Amino acid sequence: MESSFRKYQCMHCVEPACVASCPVAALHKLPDGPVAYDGYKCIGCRYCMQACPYGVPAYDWSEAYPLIAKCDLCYDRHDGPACASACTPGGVISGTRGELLAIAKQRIADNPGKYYEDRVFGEYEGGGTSVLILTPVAFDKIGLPPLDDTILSDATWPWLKAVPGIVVGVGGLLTGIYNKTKDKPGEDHKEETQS
Amino acid sequence: MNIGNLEIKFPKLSIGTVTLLIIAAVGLYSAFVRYTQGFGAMTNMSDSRPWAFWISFDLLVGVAISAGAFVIAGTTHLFHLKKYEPIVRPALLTGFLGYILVSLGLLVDLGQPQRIWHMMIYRNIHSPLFEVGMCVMIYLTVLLLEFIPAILEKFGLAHQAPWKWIKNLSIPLIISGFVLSTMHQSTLGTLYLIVPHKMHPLWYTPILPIIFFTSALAVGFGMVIFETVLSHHIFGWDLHEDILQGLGKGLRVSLVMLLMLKVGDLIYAGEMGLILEGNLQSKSFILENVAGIILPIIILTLPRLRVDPKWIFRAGLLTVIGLVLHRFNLSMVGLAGDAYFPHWMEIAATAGLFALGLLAFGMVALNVPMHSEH
Repeated sequence: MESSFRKYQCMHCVEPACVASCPVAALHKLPDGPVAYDGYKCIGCRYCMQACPYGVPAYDWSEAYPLIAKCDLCYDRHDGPACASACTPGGVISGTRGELLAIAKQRIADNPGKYYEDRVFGEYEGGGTSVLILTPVAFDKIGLPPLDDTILSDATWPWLKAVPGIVVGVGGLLTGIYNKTKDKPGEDHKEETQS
Repeated sequence: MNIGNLEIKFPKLSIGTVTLLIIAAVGLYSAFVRYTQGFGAMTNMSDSRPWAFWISFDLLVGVAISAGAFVIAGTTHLFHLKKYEPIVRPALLTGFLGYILVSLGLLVDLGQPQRIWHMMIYRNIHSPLFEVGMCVMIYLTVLLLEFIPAILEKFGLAHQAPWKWIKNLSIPLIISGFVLSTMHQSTLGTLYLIVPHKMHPLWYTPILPIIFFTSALAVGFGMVIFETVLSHHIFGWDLHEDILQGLGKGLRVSLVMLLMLKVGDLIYAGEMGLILEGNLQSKSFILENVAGIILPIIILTLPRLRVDPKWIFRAGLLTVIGLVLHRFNLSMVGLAGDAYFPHWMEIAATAGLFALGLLAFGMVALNVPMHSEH
């Protein structure tokens, strides 16, 4: 049986579900791409863990007051991600998303049929990721989720955006109903009905 | 017991009261273990099951079954259906205690409960959980204000300054309570819209917020029926049959709406076939909807049953069971992740809070006037 490995890490999504879901904005996307975490803000609600399609944020379950742990792409390290520096055969490389995507596409063009479906994982998945994966193995066999190009938080934001409208709409409707059903002074108490 | 000239009654030390005290003590012990030894010592949660029993029950079920407060306060005071007046205060009290339990449950579940106030300073308006958190905080305040007149009456302060101020605010308070409930009851559904890749299609739908709101409406009626009948047996309060029948009608209307939404959504998505696949998910879905929606609709439609308090009670109880099944199915049975069954201490912590809530209800109901003064 053939075996294969994948480096399991935060994909640093272009539009991260964890960033959208965190109620205290402890997770945020840096301009250069890394998704960073401010532990001092975190309330430990674990919504990021539930929302992440890659199962990345981890929790210290043995602790009484745990925080989240996740890769931050070594954003505060001078020489870029330590994993890329450490990987001597060049299996893990770092650069800008544009550069890496160009390298990946060149490799696919140079070796047609070598990589799964001749495409890069992360170019479009969930709106794209900043970590890109080029592999000969089927994506689902190395635990990559079947995502289309929809941004995950596109499902939640329209409902949240509607909140001011709902407040005004429901509030106005109820005020109207209250005034409409109110007994007018002098009138006999009406028999109430309910459907 | 008397403090000054104020008489305070305690529940009789019956078997029921003692049982509740024991359950509460075991629950407090479980919470103690969580705060001293950590989650690993008393839960079966894992990185792929980060939201488990406490979220499913304490948050999703807890908020929904506290919906009676806004449903009944709204019906009675906004729609001017005055016959429901006798059940408004009990419903408000249940709602208020319900939301306190939800908040306490969250303080057990959060990793950093001492930072809960961070939501007010590090706001993220893109997060459904932020909206839920803020709404629950504000609504808790609204419910407290709605219930304060009853407490003032106990202290003989009716018709005096603060009582009058709050009474004058009562309609704006009820309207804001309704608006806040519309927001966060539905937003609990929005929470799960971000995991389409993890949730079974029988439960995942883009209209999840509407389904959550409609089911909260139904269970609001169901819980009020349930508690009206129970308080009649426990506290000997009057049982007005016409009130119960009216609640039954409201319950039936909201259950029919819920059924149409759920079936309509599955037909629209072309997913009706999934119901008959015979796997765990399809069986759970059938149980949830037959027991929790279709059966109570039948009971509340049959002319002989729908006027009988006993059957209205059963319909209410089935609705509550159906709601619990829906929230658990959606957040556990139908949600991908490691195999999970709650640790006994997870259940004990929740049960302990619930027991404390029932004891608190008893204490308040025995001491505070449950009929409002005008």
